Amino acid sequence: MKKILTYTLIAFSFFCCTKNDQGNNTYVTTGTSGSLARFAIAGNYLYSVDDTRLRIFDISNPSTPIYKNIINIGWGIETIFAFKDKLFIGSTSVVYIYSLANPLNPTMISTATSQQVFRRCDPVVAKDSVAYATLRSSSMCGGGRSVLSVIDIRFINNPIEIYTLPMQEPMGLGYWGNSLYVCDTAKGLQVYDITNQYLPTLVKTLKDEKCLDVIPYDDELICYTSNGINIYDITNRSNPVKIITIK
Amino acid sequence: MRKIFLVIIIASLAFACTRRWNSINKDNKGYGYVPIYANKNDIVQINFQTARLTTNPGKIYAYGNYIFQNDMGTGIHVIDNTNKLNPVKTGFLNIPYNFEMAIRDSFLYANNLVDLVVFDLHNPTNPQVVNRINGVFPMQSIQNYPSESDVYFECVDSTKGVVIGWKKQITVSRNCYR
Repeated sequence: MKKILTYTLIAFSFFCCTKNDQGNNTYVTTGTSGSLARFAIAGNYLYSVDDTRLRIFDISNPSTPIYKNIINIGWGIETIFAFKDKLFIGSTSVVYIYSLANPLNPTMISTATSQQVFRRCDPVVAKDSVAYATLRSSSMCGGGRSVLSVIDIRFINNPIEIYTLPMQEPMGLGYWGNSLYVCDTAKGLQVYDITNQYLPTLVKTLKDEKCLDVIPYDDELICYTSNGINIYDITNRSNPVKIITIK
Repeated sequence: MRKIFLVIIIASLAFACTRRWNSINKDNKGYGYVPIYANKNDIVQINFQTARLTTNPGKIYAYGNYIFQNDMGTGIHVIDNTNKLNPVKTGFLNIPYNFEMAIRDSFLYANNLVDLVVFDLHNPTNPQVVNRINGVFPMQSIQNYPSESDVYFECVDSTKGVVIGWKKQITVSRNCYR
């Protein structure tokens, strides 16, 4: 029997936590997206993905974008995230890592795969030398089990999954300082300590409305829920305190 | 020899085309896919409305003291978070068929179906459209035929509007096949 189990990654994007991570430009301000985005801004360029292609717009003059280029990436593209000089493009089958050395014509550096999960349905966040991915196996996404995957990206040409933690229905995630926030629609909003970045440890679970994605932002955790938005104070990183629900 | 080669290429091209979709001369009744059309003029109706409840919560975005949340397919809720203890919705930016957004230097980029629209957000309580790139996100996968294969469907009539989706129903004009 053919081993059809594809160990790959689906819908993924990188979450960037601090504004400093957003590139070298200090005189421009770019917003922060959740980890499920199809638009990403890096430097003077807006990148967008549809299910197969990457489009590039020059936004040097922000009010007047110029459509510059289109590149075929692959099948089932779902998310994109710009992290420093790289683009991380998540598809139903693989995560493509592209170099922005030439921002108008990104080139593929490598693909990240998981040995643990056969298909992956969710986002990833990146720090400098580590990436965290939620790998969700539902009937829609296929695969064996759901995990939080810890990927060593010190060698960007060869990303390696080095640790996994069991999850139930994980969705988006993001980090702030030494805390990693993971949405799990079954378990709740989970807070992990990542002081040892390759060995996250669970410190708290909040069972509020179903959490789908998070943006840690300026000591607040903005949480996309099934009802709208929950905002938490994360001045104490490991102990989010709910400020408000916005419906 | 060269001619034969050319003929083969043309034939295979033609074959490739017929595999995409086929129009059938006679109408044939039964279950089939019917295009959902939208009026091009309705699609581009963009305006800033008073704050309202979120219907189908979508993606989130943070910029400066503001938080934005897409309401899937209808637009973007604007939330003023200046007072962190009491963030308030200040309005709803109505953008038909919007799902995506990104912001840089107080300019918001959002999709309006297949167009890229740029808003000036310098006054976030009064966003203004400043630019539009038409048809830059073509929905090729649904524009001419449904995504399913080996199905009958109603051929697209571009005079009826822009195809924004397909629905399966009993129809008398299953005049295309794919």
